[in-house]
This record gives sequence, structure tokens and C-alpha cells, in this order.
Amino acid sequence: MPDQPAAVAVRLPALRRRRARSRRWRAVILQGGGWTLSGLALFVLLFPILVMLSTSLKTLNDVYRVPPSWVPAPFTLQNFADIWARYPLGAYLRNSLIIGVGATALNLAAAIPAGYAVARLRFRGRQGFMLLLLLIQMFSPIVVLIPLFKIMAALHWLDTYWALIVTNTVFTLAFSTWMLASYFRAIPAEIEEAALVDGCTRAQTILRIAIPVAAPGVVTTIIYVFITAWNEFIFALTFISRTEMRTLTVGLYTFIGRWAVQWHYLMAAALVGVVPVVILFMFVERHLVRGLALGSVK
Amino acid sequence: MHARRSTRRGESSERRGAPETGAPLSHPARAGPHVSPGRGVIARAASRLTAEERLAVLFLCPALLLMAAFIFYPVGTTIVTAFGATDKLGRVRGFVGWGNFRALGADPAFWQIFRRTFLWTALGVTVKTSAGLAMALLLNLPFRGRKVARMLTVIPWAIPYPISAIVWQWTYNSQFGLLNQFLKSTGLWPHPPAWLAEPRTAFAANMAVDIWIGLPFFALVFLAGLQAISPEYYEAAAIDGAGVGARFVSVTLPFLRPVIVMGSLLSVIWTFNDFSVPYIVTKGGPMNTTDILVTHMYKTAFQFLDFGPASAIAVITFVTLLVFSLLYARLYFREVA
Amino acid sequence: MQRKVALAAIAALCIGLLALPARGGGAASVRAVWMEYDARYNTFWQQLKKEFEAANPGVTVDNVVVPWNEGHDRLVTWIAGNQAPDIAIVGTRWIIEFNKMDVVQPADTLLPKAFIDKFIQPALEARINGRLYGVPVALSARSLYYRTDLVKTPPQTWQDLLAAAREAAKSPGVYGIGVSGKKFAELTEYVYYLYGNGGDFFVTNPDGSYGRCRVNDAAGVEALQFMVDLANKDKVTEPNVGENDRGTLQDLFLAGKLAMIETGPWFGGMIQERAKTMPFAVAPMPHNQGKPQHTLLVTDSIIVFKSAKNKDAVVKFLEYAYRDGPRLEFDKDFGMLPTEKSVARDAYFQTDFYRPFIQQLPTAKPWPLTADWSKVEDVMWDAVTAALLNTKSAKAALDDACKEIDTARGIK
Repeated sequence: MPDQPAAVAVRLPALRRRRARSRRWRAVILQGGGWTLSGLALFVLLFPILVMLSTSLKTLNDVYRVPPSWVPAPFTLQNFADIWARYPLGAYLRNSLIIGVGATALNLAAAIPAGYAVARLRFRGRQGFMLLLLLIQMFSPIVVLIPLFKIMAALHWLDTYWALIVTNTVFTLAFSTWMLASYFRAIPAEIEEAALVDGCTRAQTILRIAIPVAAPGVVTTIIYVFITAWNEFIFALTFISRTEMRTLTVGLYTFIGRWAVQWHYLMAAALVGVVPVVILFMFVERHLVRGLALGSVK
Repeated sequence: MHARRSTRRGESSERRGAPETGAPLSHPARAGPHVSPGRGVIARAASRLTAEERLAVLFLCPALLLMAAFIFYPVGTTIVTAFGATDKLGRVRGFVGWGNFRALGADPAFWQIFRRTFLWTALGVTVKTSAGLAMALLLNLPFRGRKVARMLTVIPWAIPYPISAIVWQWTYNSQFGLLNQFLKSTGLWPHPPAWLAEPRTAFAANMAVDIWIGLPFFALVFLAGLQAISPEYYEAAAIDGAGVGARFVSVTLPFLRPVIVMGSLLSVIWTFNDFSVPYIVTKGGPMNTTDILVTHMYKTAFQFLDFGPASAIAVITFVTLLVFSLLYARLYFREVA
Repeated sequence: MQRKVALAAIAALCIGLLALPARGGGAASVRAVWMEYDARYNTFWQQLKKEFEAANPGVTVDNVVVPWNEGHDRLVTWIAGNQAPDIAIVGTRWIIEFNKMDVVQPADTLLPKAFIDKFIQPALEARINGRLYGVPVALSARSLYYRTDLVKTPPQTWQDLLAAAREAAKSPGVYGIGVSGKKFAELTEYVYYLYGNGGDFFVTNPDGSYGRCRVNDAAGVEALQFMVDLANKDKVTEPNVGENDRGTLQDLFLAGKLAMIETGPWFGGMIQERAKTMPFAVAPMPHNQGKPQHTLLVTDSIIVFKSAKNKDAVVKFLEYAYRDGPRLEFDKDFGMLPTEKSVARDAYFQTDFYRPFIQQLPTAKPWPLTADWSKVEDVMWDAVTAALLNTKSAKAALDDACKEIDTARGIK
């Protein structure tokens, strides 16, 4: 930048105007570009969802029209009414919700201390513990299905919420521990040390400092565990046999009959099932923002 | 592997002469909880772990208990069954040593499935990781309505896998499905194949569904990872004259590296074991050309009631993933240690 | 502080562990597993349960409904986990499997002769070596459904079938006949052509047991070749047979795109529901010229498990469920053929729709009753698909199939 005072005084306002214009252009391009690319990606991603939406608004005959059309003819909302009236959809949702929340809570209760230990504490076998968690992931649930079923039967947990809460917790533990550990590790040690020096116990440090700062990690864990528990199929199908205890996923599967699939109900119910997950996501999404927690702590 | 062994020999660490509770450590923050004199008796008598280690044990307890009760036993049973001759109920009636494994090895179909599983995993993870990263970067840009875009991204993941698989199976149908109809009517692909009718297109179709389901997870995890990168680093790089691309390479990637490594490792494991998609979309067909190890194992166990060989497949899957993870984990632990 | 928290957590876990609702059980209870056919299923068994419990105080029925496609695997899991139900509906073939697990209580050890004598002969598929293991609950025979506006006379032989398909395919947007190439829960079309050509799966040994695989003999190969030609040479089937199974074929027929389809009696109900105005009729399964006519017969059975605690309650329930009233209602609701002589006489079945089904029953053949059927079916499907997709010739596909089947069954 030329530092002759007079020249600067002349050029500065013009420079500022140019800068402001380019900033506006950048904003517009960013806005447009962001939405265009995201829009494209989202369209590809959401193609089946659009199929589901279209199908759920059709009558059964319309679903089987060849060639198919996107626009329902006739348009009907009856399917959404039917699934509540004719099937215990409310019970299915309630069960899935209880299991989802339960698994998330139990998982956090186990993974937060474990993650913190892996991140902050020095102990022998730390790497071994992480490896152990990973090893467990390597067995597909199908492999452990029958022995696990026997355990649940022995505990009299069949047809209860516990069986699925615990199972879903155990199978998501590896991811949540790792996720939380990596976020705890990223917290500058000085903050914690300051708190400890000030007289906080470890537990208080974790609760009041570590977790808020690791918010993106905690949020990701919550979403991951909840969705995994919400979607889980094989264990839910095997451990639960009473209709009123069924989860939503198993309930959805019953729309698939031996000879025909009730697509219009299946799609409608599946869309309804997405809603709680989306609501959860909307609540926690704001924590997926950088710096928020760090700032508040400082 | 040393670390692993020491976990199990935790109690015998006394022999190593670990420092006692009361002894002051160099860093005050790592002194552990404030121990009142009365409690010291129990603590000292219990073991000679460091304060930190005792705390660690306490913190690891819930996780370890859950796993011990609900995973170790089932997995142990499976490993035992792999070496046994089972009756139709899965009870081990005798031991055949490596017999089950040898039978699998002699079956050419098994090797085909094995190779295919590798292909499936490699393709799936690569696409999911890269597309997920791209998606995360997109969703990190500050544009209005970003929250809605993020929310929409999560939706494919929020649908149960078997249901997604069935919806996709329906969508892929050339007569009833809206996919081919869309491709034809928009002119994007005037003569699309009947996806599920031929082996190669069926494999690609399965792959697409698996990627579709797995993408939101990666986008989310990478997005969370991006939040942890402090903006000061970007500013510093910008001051140094780095453009967008260079900033990505010098700031974003290094910071995301642990996330990418661990995320893709988990994805390898999950994709390798992805059951719902190939089983429901094509039932492993046509002609078992979309069968992967886990669907083959399921059929062996539940359709043919051969629990011994099925357990053997499980062990093979486990060993394969273990070997892969150990190689991969060197990268990870080096990052973090 | 932390210790208290930890102890509290452990205590909570223990309490949760101990808060065990005990399973079912009560005075006398019958735990029944029903494999779901369709949405009305649950209502039917729930209604029956209510009526039964009202008529029999002191006995409760615990209904568990499982989707049919998952039914077999769930049962295997429950049995292997020592949680077998008291009774369950099963595909009759599964009985042999479960026998190998030694969990089935033969029906004729529990039910009186008068009960068993009610059934028509073809329905008693679960009779193995003179011992009746299961009670027939659903019976179907497969027939040819055809559009009366597109097919003038019902085809009786394969030659008629081909001619009719060619004729019907001339109409715009219509395919002659449906052939499925996608692996499905049951082995469908090929069996119709195999049996219709006088072929069979296995050579029958003098003692009645199954011997060598024989689908690769002249009859079997000719049958597969005819199917393949329908799709690839004569091109009278829907395109891309590899992506369709019986479910989508039925949908295609209902959408008006198929002139003919071979399927079971339940389809009539589906047509009533979804294509009321479609002009259709049913004809016996066509056979090859000069060969006898045999269609496929399929039954589902109710089996009683050895582990059932209250066998008397089970017998009471079965006798209640098998009165003519509920049986007729079951057959009507789910589109099944009558399994009892008395029900077969009902006016409901004396219609043009049911007549072809019932008249085929005496000559209808089931799939082979072998414990290895799952494997055989799997191998056969692969062979059929390979031939349809032209990866192998019909003869080669069937030769390979027979080799694999014989090895799996331990036959030299």
C-alpha cells in the first residue's frame, strides 16, 4: 500500500466502496453457490424421499400405475389417517422413542467417563481399551444374535425395553467413546487445570467444562446413538414378540405382507417415523457450531 | 498388542511398583481427586495403581461392564462354535478343529464372495468418505437456510435400513419405479438398464443404496470435526497468502485427519458387515452375485441351519477386519499418542 | 461425591435388572406364533383368541404375529434360544427341518382320529412315513389366471399357452405371460413347468426316500428351455425377467400389463380389491402335450412344539379354531382353498373361480419333502436365473445344479 498521506486520503473511500461491493458479491455467490450445490446434492440424496412422499399421497391402485407418475391422481391424505387408526402406530412410536432415549442416555453415561479417561488420564492399557472397543464392532449383530437372545431370555428381558436399550448401547459404544475422546482431547488442558486448581472435582470439571466445550462431539454422539437405536431391526424383531411392544421399524416391516406390500401405508408410516429424528436434530443442531462453547467458557 | 495384554493384567500391576496416591505428581491437575485421609486406607489396600489409573478404572467401569455382560460371552460362544460340529439347533456336539474353515476354503464360491466383499467395502468407503467430506464442507459454508439443508441431509439416515432397502428395491424396478421413469423423461439416461436384473448393475445398485444410507453419517461427523478447527488457523493461513485450496490442504485436512482415519475405519467395519442392503434389495442375487460375507453367513445359519460354518465365517470376518484395523490403527494411534 | 454417583448408577442398573416382568404364563396359556399373510391376519387371530378365551375361562392365548418373510429365521432363533412357542404356523417344509432339531410334537399324538379324518387327502402333506406332524391350516394350488378379453380360450397345453401369449402380446402395452427370474421365498414358475412335463426333482428310491437329483433329465431341461424361450426367443414375457419376482408379476397383472400369470388362489382377492373391473378367469395349469397334468400344491401347517407346557390347552384351542366356521372365514379372508371335507362342500367354493383350483387337487404335487429343501431351492433359483439371463444354457445350468444338490445332500 502506498503510504503517501495525500494519495491514501483520496483512495481510501474508493477502496472501501470497492471492498464493500466485492464483499456483497462474495456473499451472493456464496449464498447462491451454497444453495445450488447443496440443492443438487440434496436432490440426489432425497430422491427416494420424494418417491416416498409421492407414494404416501396416492391410493394403492395409483401406486401400481405403469408407467408411474410423480403426481398422485387422486391426491389423498387418507393413508396418513389410516396408519394411525388401523395400526398401533402410536404405540410403535412410543416404544421406539423410549428405547432411543434410553439407549442414548445409557450410552452417554458410559461413554463420557470412558472417553474422558481415554483422553485425559494416563493409564496402562489405554490403547488396548480403544482397540477392544473397535474389536467389538467387528462382529456383525447377526453373529451374536442367538447367544445374545439366550442372555436376554435368561434375564427375563424379552419383551421389555431393557433388552433393546442395553443392546443398542453396547453396539454404539465404540463410536461414542471415540468421538467424545477426540473432543475431550482437543480441549486445552489449561482450562481444566485452572478449574481443578480452583477446587473443582473431576466430575464437576467434566460436567461444567469438558462437555460444553465438546458440544459438537456430544451432539454427534447423541444423534448417532439415537438414530441407530431408532432404526435397529434385527434385535428388535428377535427380542420383542408382543405387538404392543414393537418398535417402529418392526412395525413398518409388517406392511410387507406375504403376497403384497402396502406401499402407500409403508411410505406414509416411514415418513412419520422420520419426524422425531428431525425434531431431535433441529434441537441439537445449533451446537454443531464452532467456538460457541469455547467462547462461553472463557 | 502389549497395551492390550496389560489391561487384563491390571490387578498384577502391583508388581510394577506404581506410585501411591498421596505421592505428589509433577502436574497438579493430574493429581486426581482430593482424597480425604480416611478413605486412603481402602484405596491403598486395594491396589497400587496410580490415582489416575484408579480413576480411569472407575470411569471405564460402566462401559466395560456393559460389554463384558453382553458382548464377550456371545462372541466367545461364536468363536467356540466355529470350531465345532453343530446340530440344527446350533448346539455344539463335537469338535472338528479347523474342519469348518477348511470346508469354506475349499468352496470356490466362498472366495468369490470374499473378494467381492473387499470390492464392496473399498468402493463404498471411498465414495462415502469423499462425498461425505464434500457435503460437510458445503454444509459448513455460511449461507442462509443452512440449518434446513443440514436437517435434510440427515433424513436418509433416519429411515430404518430395511425400509430404505425396500423402497430402493421398488424404485429400481423398471416398470413401477420412479427412477428409470425420471431418467427417461428428463432425458438424462434415455435407456436406463433394469438395475436389479443383471449382476453388474445389481451390484452397482446395491452399492448406491449403501452409499446413500451411509453418506449423512459422514457428512455429520466431518461437519462436527470442522467445528473443532479454530478460525485463527484459517486467518493465519490467509495472512500467509494461502488461497482457498491451499487453506484446505494445510489447515482443514490435517485437523480432520484423525476424524477421517477413524471415521473411515469404522466405515470399513460397518460396510463390510452391511447386511440389510444386499439381503433385502437383491437377496444376494441375481445368482448370488451380490452376496457378501455377512449375507452368506446369514443364509448359512438361518436358511441352511449350518451354525458351525456360519460361525466360522464370522471368525474369518473378524480376523480380516482385525488385521486391517491393526494396520490402519498404527496411523491413528500415531496421530493421537 | 463421585463414588456416590457411581454407586447410585450401579444401584439403578441393578434395580433395572431386577425389575423383570415375568413372561406370559398364568393359569393355562397357549403361546402361538402366527406368520403374517397380510394386514387382516392379526385381526383374525385376535378375534379368535377373544372368542376362545370367553368360551374357555382359565385358558389364555398369547398371540405373536411375525412377518412371513422373517418368520422362518425368527422361529429358528427362538427355538435355538430355548424360547420356542407352543404352536406356530409354518411352511410345511420347515417341519422336516424342525424335526431334525427334534422339537416337534407330532399332531396325531395329540389330536383324536376324528379330528384328523376331517381333512381332505391332499391337504395332509405333513404326513411323513405315516406320522402326521402338523395340522394343515392353509392350502393352495397354483393355476393360470388369464385376461378373458385378451385370451379367448383357456390354454391347456404349452403349445396353446405359447400361441395365446403371442396373440395377447400383440395388444399395445401388454405382455403375454409373466415369468420371474428374481430369487424369491418360494421356487415358483419352474416347478409348474417341471411338473407339467412329467419331471420331478429327485429320483424316488424303492423305500420312498429321495435319491439322486433329476432336474437335468430330458423332462427337466425341456421345461426350463420352454421358460427361457418364452422370455428370450419368443419374447412373450415382460422385459427384464431378472428384476421381477412373483410379487411384482402380480402387480403387473393388476396394472393391466400382463395377459397371463401363474399364481395361487389368494390372487383372486387381490384382483377384487385392486382391479375390480378386470375381466379374468382361471384355468388349470397347462401341461406339455402328451404329458399328464400336475400343478403345484402348497400347504402351511400348524405344529405343536414338544416344549409346550399345556398340551391340553393347546388341543382345546386347536379344536376350537378348527370348527367349520373359523375355517371358512380363514379361507375366505386369506384366499385359501378348503382343507376340510365339510368346508369344501360350502357353496362359497362351488364357483367358476374356485372350481379349477379344487379340481386340480387330486393330481397336484407338492415340493419334495426334504430337510435340504432350502438349499435345493436356493440352488434351483440360481440355475433358473442363470438360464434366463443366458449365462448358462438350460442343460448346463441344471447339470451344475444337480451336481451341487447331490453334493449337499451327500448323494453320490
